Amino acid sequence: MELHAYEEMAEALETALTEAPTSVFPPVTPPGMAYVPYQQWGEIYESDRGLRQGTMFPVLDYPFYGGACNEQT
Amino acid sequence: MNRREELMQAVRKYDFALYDLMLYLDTHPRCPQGRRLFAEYKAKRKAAVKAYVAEFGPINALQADTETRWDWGCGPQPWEKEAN
Repeated sequence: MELHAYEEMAEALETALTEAPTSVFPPVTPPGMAYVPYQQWGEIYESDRGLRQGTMFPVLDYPFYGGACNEQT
Repeated sequence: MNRREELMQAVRKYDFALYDLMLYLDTHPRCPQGRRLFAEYKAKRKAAVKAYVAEFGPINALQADTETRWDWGCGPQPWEKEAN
């Protein structure tokens, strides 16, 4: 990677760290790398619901519906 | 749920909320909403612990009241029914 590409990336990352992220993608997406969508602030559970569900963030709440039939617990 | 359990449950849920928000803030240090909610739950937890300790004694030894006596050992022992 020529030097200037590296500098560009470092600079973009620097600016990214100054403001809260607004997109699911990081500011710099070099080819050939994997990305996890960046969590955005959104709805939040009340703390008692959060404790029950195991997360304060509905977007991260993936309950496991195991078992033969698919009735939801 | 008896009174003791109620107060302890409040401490538990605020501890959980703070821990989960901490994980979020680790990756989103500049998120203003996240930081504001963390501050809110910090205050709620402090009040919940204060309420519990005032009525049922220290949750951990650091909260022991040494003014009148060393009360850390006075509550029900962890293996006793009342403590669970």
